[in-house]
Amino acid sequence: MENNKKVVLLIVEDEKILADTLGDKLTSEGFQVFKAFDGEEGLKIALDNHPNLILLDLLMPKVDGITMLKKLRDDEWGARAAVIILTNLEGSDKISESLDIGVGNIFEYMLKTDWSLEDIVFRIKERLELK
Amino acid sequence: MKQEKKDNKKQDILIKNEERFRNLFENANDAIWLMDKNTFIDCNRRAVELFKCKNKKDVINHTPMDFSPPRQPDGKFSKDKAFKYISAALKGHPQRFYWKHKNKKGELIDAEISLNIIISSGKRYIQAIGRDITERKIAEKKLRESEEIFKNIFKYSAAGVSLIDINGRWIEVNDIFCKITGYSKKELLSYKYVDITHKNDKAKSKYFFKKILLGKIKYRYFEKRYVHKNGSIIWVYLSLSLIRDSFNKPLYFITHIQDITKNKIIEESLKESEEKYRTLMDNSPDAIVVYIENKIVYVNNECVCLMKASSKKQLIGKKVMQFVHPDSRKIVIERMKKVTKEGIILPSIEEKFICLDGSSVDVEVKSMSIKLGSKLAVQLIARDITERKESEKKIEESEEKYRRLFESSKDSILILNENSGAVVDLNPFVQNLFLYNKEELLGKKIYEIETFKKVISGINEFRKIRKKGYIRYDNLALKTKDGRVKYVEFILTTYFVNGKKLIQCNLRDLTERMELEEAKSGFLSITSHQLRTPLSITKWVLDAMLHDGDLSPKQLKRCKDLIISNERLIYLVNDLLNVSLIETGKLVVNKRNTNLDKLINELVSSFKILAEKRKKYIKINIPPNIKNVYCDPVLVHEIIENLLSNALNYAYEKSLEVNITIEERKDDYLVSVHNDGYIEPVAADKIKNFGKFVRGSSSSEIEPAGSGLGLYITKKMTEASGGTIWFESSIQDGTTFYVTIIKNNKK
Repeated sequence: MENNKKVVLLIVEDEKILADTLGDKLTSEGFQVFKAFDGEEGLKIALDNHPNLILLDLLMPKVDGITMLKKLRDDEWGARAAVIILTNLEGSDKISESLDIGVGNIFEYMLKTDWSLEDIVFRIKERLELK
Repeated sequence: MKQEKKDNKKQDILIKNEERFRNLFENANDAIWLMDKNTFIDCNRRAVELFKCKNKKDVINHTPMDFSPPRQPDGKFSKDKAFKYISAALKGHPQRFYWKHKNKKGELIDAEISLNIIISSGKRYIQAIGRDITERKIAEKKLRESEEIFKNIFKYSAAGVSLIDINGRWIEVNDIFCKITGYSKKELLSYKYVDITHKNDKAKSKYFFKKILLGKIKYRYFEKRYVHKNGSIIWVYLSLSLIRDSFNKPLYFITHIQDITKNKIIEESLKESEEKYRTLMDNSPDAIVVYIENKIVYVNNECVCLMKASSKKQLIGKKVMQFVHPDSRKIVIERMKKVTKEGIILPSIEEKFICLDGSSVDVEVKSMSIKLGSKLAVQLIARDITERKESEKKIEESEEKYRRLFESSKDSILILNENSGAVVDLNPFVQNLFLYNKEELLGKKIYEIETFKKVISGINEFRKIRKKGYIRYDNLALKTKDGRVKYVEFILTTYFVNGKKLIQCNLRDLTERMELEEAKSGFLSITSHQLRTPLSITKWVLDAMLHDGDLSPKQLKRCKDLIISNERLIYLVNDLLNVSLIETGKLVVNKRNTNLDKLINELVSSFKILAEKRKKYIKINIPPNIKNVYCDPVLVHEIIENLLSNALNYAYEKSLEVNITIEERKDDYLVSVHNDGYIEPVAADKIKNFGKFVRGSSSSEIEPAGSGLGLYITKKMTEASGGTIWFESSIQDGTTFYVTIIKNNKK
């Protein structure tokens, strides 16, 4: 998969271990991985680097995921950026809120505990191939 | 001598005769004059008396003219008339005539005069005899006058007058009598009174006639009927009396009659209406009592009931006060004092009465003073208000309850006048919530109060809302008096009280609730997040370790064991969170148009690994155009995921397929998940209610990580979406779980 080298992913996650573990996996799969530990940083990196896909956690300090997402959608590029919510937060209003902001169908909302690393890779590939 | 004797005898006889004649002359009762032509030459005592003279000298040598007025009553000159009479008498024609004399005193005398000629010694003299008829004339005049009077009385009386002889025949009737009876005078005079008397009154009339005739009674007044000539009945009021002569012999009856037919008619109708009135009174649904000087003289039927008596007799004659309860005695006595004359109406008042059996009854009483005959009476109408009092009490109680609720309600409540929208009442919490004083809001129109202008901007808006009758805003941001924002739930309803329409506004401060809910959802979300974070860390690190490729077989095994255990924990947390959401009502159903086709397909593909593990193939049977289904995708996902997971885990080992089918029906979509497994009756019985912690017998082997909440959660989620869930299981057909997704049949 030579193409993977060109695919840029952004992980926005405040839990370092998770970010590192996932990042390692993705890197081993051949993706270029950026990491941000809060929404503010995440937004900056996203707008600077225009990643192919953003994996976004919701509960983060400084600027949380939803806020970052809203701000992202205000941007011209960001309005159509591919985002997958990757969180442990459950509660339907949050889901609908993010859905309203145009995350796509519910499979763009993934509960970390539901998915193994392999599942996530599968999902990312699926998403990017569909695109 | 013989001749002398003879002559003397003759002379004696002559003298005796002369004396005799002179006696007769002097003592005659009538006045006698002798006249030579028209001059008195002699007269008797009576004549002197008649002319009121002293002696004869005053009369003799006078003429009648001296004792007469210049004219006679007929206007002719006395002189001429006298001359006529005297001349006629002298010729030998006796005269008899009426003459008005005047005596010496100047008084006028009525006299009856007769003139005769007397020849004596060859000479003609007139003998005049006069009788004083003055008194007789006066009597005659009086008689004539009184006769006239009586005739007039008779003729012009306003009553019918008649004279009846002792045999009952009419002698005389006046015009009115004729008018009343309808017969002419001629006709009546040919009848007896019984002839036109009504047959039922004949006996009565005869009886009175007889009694008076016999002298037993002097007179009698009575009513009777005559039969008018035209056949109609005439009622008369008749007075009957008898005229007797000086020897007490009955002469004739006098009757006076008055036509009272009209009165009788009125009397009859009065009687009729009196009876009607009495019937009305008797049968009135209200109790009616009439008393005179505190003594009961009349009660109607309802009164008998009210007083728990068994007959009117038990009440009549008794004193009114004995039926008045001590509580009301003072008031009643005061009221009775006000009844001083006829026609006083006392206003309605509530009183307490005591019945015959000692029980008390509350009544509403109206009194009026009336005249009964000559006495002052009071008519009292009483209405039993026991029931009314009870319901009044209930209303008071419930009003009290309501007022307490109103005052203590944690909601702010405003009551508005339906027409104007003005605030007519409010409870204390309005002040707390929006910081206005009661005075600032009372009477003000809702659309004029700053805070509410946001909801109801003006009178038109108010009218619109009023027309709707009900509005609800779940989350309204309103500004308090000092400008702060409060989130409220605003509900406006209209309802009727005593036929009047009122508008009630309920405002519930949501701030607390919202905070609580925030806290709740926050709690749940944060908790689940906090629980899951270390779980996902463990999950992924172990995952990475597994694939790192540098573990010993022993380490590999330990790794896998940890992964399984971790997964259990993850499942537990998931289920616990779901149940919490369900049980705290936080499970929100957000329906939207969902592409069910895509959802199912993606779900199935996510089960690829488990399916492979179980060596099953998931077959999808979905109608082609099932793109837009109105449902909550998250819940549908969870539900079907759960069913699929069960289907895969609990199928026969040897079976190859798990089927998921969707069928479009009239009102819903039927989703069925099928496998070849069989749920034994005992187990089926346990799980058919989809309760908590219910698992099949083999569950702990197949799905050790299961929490036992799966079916419960699935059912709750189904029901929250408006659907139903059930299953069927048999050895031949396997097991199928059914779930319905209701269609959005918005009309």
